[in-house]
Amino acid sequence: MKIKVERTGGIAAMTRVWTVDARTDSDLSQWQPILEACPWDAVPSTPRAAAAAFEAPQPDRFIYSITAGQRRAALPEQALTGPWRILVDTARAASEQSAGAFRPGPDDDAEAGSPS
Amino acid sequence: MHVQFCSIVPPYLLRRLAQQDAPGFSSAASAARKALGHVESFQATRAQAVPVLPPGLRQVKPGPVSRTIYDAGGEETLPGRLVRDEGGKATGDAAADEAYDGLGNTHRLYADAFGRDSVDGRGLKLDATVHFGKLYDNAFWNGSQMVFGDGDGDVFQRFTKSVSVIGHELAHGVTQYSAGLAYRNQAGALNESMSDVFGALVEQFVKNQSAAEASWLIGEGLFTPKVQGLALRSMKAPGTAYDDDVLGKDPQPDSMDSYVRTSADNGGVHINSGIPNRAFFLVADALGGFAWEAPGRIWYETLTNGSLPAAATFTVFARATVRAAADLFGAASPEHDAVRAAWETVKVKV
Repeated sequence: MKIKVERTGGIAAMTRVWTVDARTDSDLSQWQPILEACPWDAVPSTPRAAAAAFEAPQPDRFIYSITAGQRRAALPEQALTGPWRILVDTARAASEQSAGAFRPGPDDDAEAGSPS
Repeated sequence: MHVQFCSIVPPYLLRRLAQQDAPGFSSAASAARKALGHVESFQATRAQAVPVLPPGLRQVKPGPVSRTIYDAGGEETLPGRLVRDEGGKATGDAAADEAYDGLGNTHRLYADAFGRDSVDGRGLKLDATVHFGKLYDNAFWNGSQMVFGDGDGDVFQRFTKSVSVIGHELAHGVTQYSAGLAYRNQAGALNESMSDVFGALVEQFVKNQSAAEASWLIGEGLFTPKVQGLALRSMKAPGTAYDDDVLGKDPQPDSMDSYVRTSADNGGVHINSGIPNRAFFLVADALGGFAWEAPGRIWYETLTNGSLPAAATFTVFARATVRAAADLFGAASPEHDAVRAAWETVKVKV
């Protein structure tokens, strides 16, 4: 299962991506409780929906877009708390490129409705 | 919330002044028209916005700055531990002292150039927290204070290192207390551009640089030496601030021809800001001299005179700047011409 965290916004407005490929049974069993703890159904699933749902964005804060298998969530930084924060911090630490890959410019594939 | 408007100049006198069309009275006349607009129209939707009388009519000078610097100690709880109060001596911690100086210089620009008393026009205390988070590569305005990270040490150094970043963040507060530009799509890009404009102006003001001498860079000096780049953004040449094999290339457009349609970054607010940024640079470049004077006044007037809606598009904003230039300098002025020409160059319809 691929876990992907994409971070956009911020004053520097650089897109960064952390990816984890949880392949072994051991990996998956470590990730399961982290993923299960997150209320996927209770939050928006795209950055556009997140922007609409959270009324007063704080200027220059990040926006996080999280994908884990078929599940997706999008949250402004100030809402990245509790289990979401644990998920993101764990993904960042576990990512192959722990500094995160920079993506030159925002990625809109998710907005076009294409399957992940 | 009821906003009480107190007019220092009585309305009947404002109306007399507003009708003046003799040469030499145009500034006073336009100021009076603006003040009358505030008296006569009730801005119910923006409870936080307090109409500020134009400098020519105000009889009260901005008060002294009142700064407080906090240290979050690598955590994310705000505001953190108080480390320097107004008048307090330097702490020796670069981030705290840079924030203190940056707040002071930003306050001074607004007071000296625009007659504005702090972020809200009423002497709001300026608070900043430094050392927010761990390796936090960002700075932001949270609605009441500025917050600065230390950078990750890999790509970014500490964010207080750039005066334009400090000015940028504080300018978000000014926008919040004036036009309240929505932080998404074109209005959001205008919000971002306002912060880049006034952030750049603080830096130029501190260095006493003319438009020709200025770098027009936002966040110059933030990158570590390993990055192939000068700054986060260039107002003079959007899209050229960096080109690095890891970061990628600066994605900003420099005209409507390359406007970016995206839902990321609240609709590309940091990306499409390149277009109005460049327009401001072009006005400053055409007029020469200090950019906080005529260009800054036109932009400040547009932001604060109450005519700009929160959902303004680039075209609405451009038209407002043209009107402001005519009000301040006259319809046949070089300033008015420079503003029209700038929007034409970046291909925003006026």
